[in-house]
Amino acid sequence: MTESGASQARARIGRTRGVALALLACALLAREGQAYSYSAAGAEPLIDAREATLAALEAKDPAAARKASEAARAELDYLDQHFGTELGKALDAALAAGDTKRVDRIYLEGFTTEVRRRIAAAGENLKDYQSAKTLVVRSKRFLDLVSPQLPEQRRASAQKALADCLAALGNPGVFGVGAAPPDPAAFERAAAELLRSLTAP
Amino acid sequence: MSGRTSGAAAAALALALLLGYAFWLLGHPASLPSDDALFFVRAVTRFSVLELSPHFPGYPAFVLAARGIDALQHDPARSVFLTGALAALSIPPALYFWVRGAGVAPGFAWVAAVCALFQPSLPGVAVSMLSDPLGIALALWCLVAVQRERFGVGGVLMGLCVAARPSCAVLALALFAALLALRRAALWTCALGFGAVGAAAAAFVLAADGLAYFAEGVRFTAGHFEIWGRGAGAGSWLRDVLGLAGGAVNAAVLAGALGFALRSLQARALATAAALCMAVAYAVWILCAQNPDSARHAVPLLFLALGIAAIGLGQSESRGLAASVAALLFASTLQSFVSSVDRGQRAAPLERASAELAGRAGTLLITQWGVEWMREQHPELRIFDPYYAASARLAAQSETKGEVLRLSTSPLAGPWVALRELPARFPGEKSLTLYALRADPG
Repeated sequence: MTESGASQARARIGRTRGVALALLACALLAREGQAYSYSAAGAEPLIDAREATLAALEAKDPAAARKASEAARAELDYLDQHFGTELGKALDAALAAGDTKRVDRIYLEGFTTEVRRRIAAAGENLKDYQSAKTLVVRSKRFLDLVSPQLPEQRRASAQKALADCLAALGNPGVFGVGAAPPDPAAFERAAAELLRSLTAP
Repeated sequence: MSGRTSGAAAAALALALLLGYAFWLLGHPASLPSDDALFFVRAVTRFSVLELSPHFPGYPAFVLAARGIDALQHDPARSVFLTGALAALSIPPALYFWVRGAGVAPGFAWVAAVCALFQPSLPGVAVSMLSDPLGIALALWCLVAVQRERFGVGGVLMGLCVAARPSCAVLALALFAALLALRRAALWTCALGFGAVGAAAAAFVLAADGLAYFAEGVRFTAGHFEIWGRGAGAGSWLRDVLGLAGGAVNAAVLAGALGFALRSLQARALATAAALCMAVAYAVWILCAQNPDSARHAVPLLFLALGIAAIGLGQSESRGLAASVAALLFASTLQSFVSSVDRGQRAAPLERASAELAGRAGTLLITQWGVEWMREQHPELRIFDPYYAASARLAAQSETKGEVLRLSTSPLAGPWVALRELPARFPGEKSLTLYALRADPG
C-alpha cells in the first residue's frame, strides 16, 4: 500500500470509529428517562447550560452549543467579575475550537467557583439561617458533579467538609425551642477544608 | 366444639402464625434498598429536610418512631428497619379488628387477617425501611377507632398516619368527607385530634429548618411534578402493580371477591363508607400524581380492598357462596405468597450491588438508583447520575484507563454487558443489574 493509500485507510478507520462512537453514545444512556434525583429539582443555569451544551456538541451542532452556553453567560460573567476567573472567554475559545472536553472542563471550573461563591456567601450570612442553609445545600449539587473529577481522598474530604459546614449552621428552633446557634469558627474551618479539597493542585 | 373454644383455637393459631412470620421477617438484615431509606437512616441522628435527611416533607412521625426505637437499639439503620417491620406486623391485626367490628362472622375477619399477613406485597414494604407500612397500619387502626366511635383517637391516628406518610393526606380528606356526610357531629372531635398531631409535626420540622423548610417544599414539590412524580399513567405500572398483588391470577381473584362483595356491602356504615372513600381518593392520587417508578405506592389500596372485600362477603346473604369466595381468596393469596416471595434472608439488591463494587477503586459508575448511597459507601468510585445524561455520556466515552459500570433498574442492551443480576427479594422491590461497558463497541 502506498503512503497516501495508507493515510486514506487510516482516515476511513477514523471515520468508522467516529460512527461507532456516535452509536455508542446513543446506546449508552438510552433509558435515561427513568432516572430521577431529588437534588436535581430547581433551576441552576450553569448546570442546565452544561448539559445542553454537551448534548449539542455531541450532536455536532456548534450553533446550538453556542446558544445553549449563552444561558450560562450571566452566571459566568458574575463569577469572572467576583472570583478572578476568565471562564466566559475560555468557554468561547473552547466552543470555537469545538473541543468538547475543554468545554466540559470549563463548566466544571465554573461549578467549583459556584461552590466557592455560595460557601463564601453562607459564611457572610450565618445569622440568616434560611439564606445560609439554602446556599450550602445548593453548593452540594455542584460538588456532586465535580466530585468524580477529584482524587479519592479529596472527594471524601470535600463531602465531609460540606457536612461539617451544614452542622456549623445550627438550627432555628420554634420560638427559640430546640434552637442551636451557628458556630462561625467551625464554619470557617469546614469551609476552608472544603475549598482546599476542591482546588488543591 | 363450642364457639368460644373454636374462637380461642383460631386466635391461638393466628398468634402462632403471626409470631412465626415475625421471627422470619425480623431475621432479615437492616439492608438499604434505596436512597429514600438512607435519608431516613440519616434522619435518626440528624433531622433536616433541606439536607435530604430525610427528604421533603420530612415524615416526622416515622422519624420520631425510629428515634424512639433507636434510644434502645443505638443502631439507626436497624431502628428504621424495625419501625417499618413492626408497623407491617400490626397490619393483619388491624384488619381483623376492622372486619370483625363490622359485625360479620369471625371467619371472614380471620380470612382478612391471614390474607393480609400473606399478601405478597407485605414483606417488601415491611423491610423497605420506608414509611409506607407505618402509614398503612395507622390508617387501618384509625378505621378501627372510627368504627368504635372513638373519634378523637381516630383523628390522632389519622394525624400520625399523615405525619408518617404525607401522601396519606388524601386518606384524611376522604375520612373527613365521610364524616361530613354521615356523622357531622363527630367531625370536629376527629379534626381536633388530627390538628393537634399536625401542629406538633409542623413544630418538629420547623424547629430543624425554620422557614427554609417552605423554600425546600416549593423546590421539592416542583421536582415531584416535573421530574419524578408524573403519575402512574406515565410509567409501565400495570405489570409492577400486578406483581405486587402476587400476579395477575391473585389480583383477579381479589378483584372478583371485591366485585362480589360490593353487591352486598352495607356501604352506609361509617367505617366502611370511610374506607370506600379512602380507596377511591387514593386510587385517583396514585394514578395522577405518584412516582411511577415505585409500585409500592399502590399497597394501601390492596389492604383497603382486602378489608372491604371481607366485610362485603361477610354481609352477603348467599352465605355458602361468600364462604367459597373467601376460601378461594385465602388459597390464592397463600399460593401467590409461596410462588412470588423469596423466603431466604438476604440483603437488598442495592446492598448486594455495593458489595460487588468493592475493590474497584477508580471505576466510573453510572447509576440512577441509590446514587447517594453509592457516593457514601464508595468514595473510591467516580459516580455519575444519568439524570445529567450528556455529561455522563461524555465521561463514559472519555474513559480510557478504568472500567465503566452501570447499575440499572431496567434491561440495557447495546454496548452494555450484564456482569451481575441482583434480583429483588419481594414483589414491589427493585431488581438491579450491574453492567459493564464493552471495551470495543464495534
